[in-house]
Amino acid sequence: MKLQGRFILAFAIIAFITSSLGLFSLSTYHKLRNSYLELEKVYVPSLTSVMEIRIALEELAAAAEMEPGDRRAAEKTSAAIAQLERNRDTHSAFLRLIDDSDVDKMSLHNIAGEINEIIALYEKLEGMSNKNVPARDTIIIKEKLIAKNTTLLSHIDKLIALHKKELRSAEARVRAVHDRGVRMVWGGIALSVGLAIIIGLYMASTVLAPLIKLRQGSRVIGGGDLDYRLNIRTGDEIEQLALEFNTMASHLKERQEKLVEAERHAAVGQATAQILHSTKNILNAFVGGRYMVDTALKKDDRDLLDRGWKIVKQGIERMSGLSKDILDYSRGNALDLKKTSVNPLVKEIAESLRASSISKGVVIEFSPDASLPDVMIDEKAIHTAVMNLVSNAVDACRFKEYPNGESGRVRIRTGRGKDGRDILIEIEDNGTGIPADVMEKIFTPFFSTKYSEGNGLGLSVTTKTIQEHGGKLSVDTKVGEGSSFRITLPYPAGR
Amino acid sequence: MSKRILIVDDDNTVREYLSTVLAENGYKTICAEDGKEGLFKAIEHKPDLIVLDVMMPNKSGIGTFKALKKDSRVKDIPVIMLTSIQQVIDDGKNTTSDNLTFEELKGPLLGKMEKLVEYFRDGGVARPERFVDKPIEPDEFLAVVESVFLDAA
Repeated sequence: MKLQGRFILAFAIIAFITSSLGLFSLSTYHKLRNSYLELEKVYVPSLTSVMEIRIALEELAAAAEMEPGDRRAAEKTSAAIAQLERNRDTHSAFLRLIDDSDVDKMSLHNIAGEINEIIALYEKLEGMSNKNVPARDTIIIKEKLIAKNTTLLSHIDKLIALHKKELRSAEARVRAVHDRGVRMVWGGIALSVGLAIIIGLYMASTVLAPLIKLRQGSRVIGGGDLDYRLNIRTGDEIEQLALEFNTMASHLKERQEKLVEAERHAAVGQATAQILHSTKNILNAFVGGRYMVDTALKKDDRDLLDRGWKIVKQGIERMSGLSKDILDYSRGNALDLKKTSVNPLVKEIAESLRASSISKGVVIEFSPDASLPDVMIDEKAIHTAVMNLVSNAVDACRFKEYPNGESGRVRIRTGRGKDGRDILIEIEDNGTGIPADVMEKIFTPFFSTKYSEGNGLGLSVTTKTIQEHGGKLSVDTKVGEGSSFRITLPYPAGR
Repeated sequence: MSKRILIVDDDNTVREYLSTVLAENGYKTICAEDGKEGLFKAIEHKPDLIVLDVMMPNKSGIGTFKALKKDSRVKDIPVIMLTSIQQVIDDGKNTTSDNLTFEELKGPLLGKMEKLVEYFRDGGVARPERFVDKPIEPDEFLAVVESVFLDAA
């Protein structure tokens, strides 16, 4: 189902539950309210009037006890009668309302009639008191009255009891409705919460999970792995988003490949231009040497011949050098690893370059670390690399102006890495240092600051060699003060 | 009196070669290994012509040229500059390979070179008298030297 649909459904369910709860609470409230209204409108007035009837009856009984002719008795009586008349019928609403088979309705339904009878009798009595009536008749009436009074009283008491009973059960009903209502509301809340949790979990798993996958996937792709593809099959907008992502990754990969190709082209182009330049320099030597040899042969000038031939040989050497450099640079990863002691190797390099460096005004110092362990290296490759760095260092010093007393100095030292897991070969010079714009390029193949000498491949081959050994080449330099190149090689194993 | 020519080039083969060519043709030669030495020897010997290589470490050819032209003692000495730039540029203009057009090769490398040459060829300030491209053919070189002396005369 589409994402939108799922969200809508989830909200609809929750809205439905909430509104059901609300409606239910509302209806419960109404029931309660009606029940209370009932109590208010019917029970209470009814009970009140029944109580008044009772009081009135008692008053009548009391009045009857008094002396005839007592004015208070007459007042009491008439007040009581008035009261009886007022409350004659109020209880009938109550009686209609209750539905109790225990109730002897017949007796209670006639209370109004009984009251009428009592009133009639009193009226008769009153009538009799005005005329001259034999006392015997008055007494008979009075006795009837008393009897009826008593009977009615007992009925009234029953009615009162019934009222009380009904009141209690009405209260009980209200409480029951209330309690049920509360239970249902709590139950409803629990149900809602449970459903909300379930819906939430469901939404989380169906919506969040693919989103998390999406985020993780985009991290992987953003981190550079352009082959990674998202696999999200949720049949909704998220899946579509994932598809878009995958398309984007494919495009990125294409573009990156094109970019790499273009860079390669540019590099090849630049390399080609530089090789051209190098070969032209070498050609100089041949052209020059040939001219000198030809001239010498014509003039039979042995000295010129020697000089000229020397130049040609220089050209040949430069040619071999270029070939070797190019071969070195493009050779594969075939390293001939053997357990080698590094100190003698570096020492030999220092020795071999010492003489020529002195002639250029540069001193080479070598401080080995005697505790240096043997490492697995390709001796020839590392030899070339260190040789390259040392001769670069010498050249850096060669061209620098030194104030009084100082001279060009190249310090080579070997040692162990900080955590004991590497060995270091450090070549430090107090030469010209490397300016920032050159720093960017020194590792580029065929970049050379030396123009006629060198092919510019030295450092790039050196870097390549070190990397193939699983090591690192780092540079520290300050213009005018010198540079420090550090080779780090892992120990004990090679790559 | 034979003319004295100062050769400034970091490549010893060029120095030897040009010295030989010039010596064979009656000139006296002085050599310098780099721009600094070249400037120094120019001031010291006051040659009649300076042959200056463009691409050198430790004070480039261009820098040396500028320094020479700024120094009143030597600024009037004619200068021939040795380059291998023009050749490359010319090659570039005339060649297209099937795989890579030279437009692509040109790029920043040649662009810079071109600017350099333009500067000298058309640029405001002092220009070298001549440009000679490497590799140097002896006859061509001699012809250029002679023509410079002819102009000066």
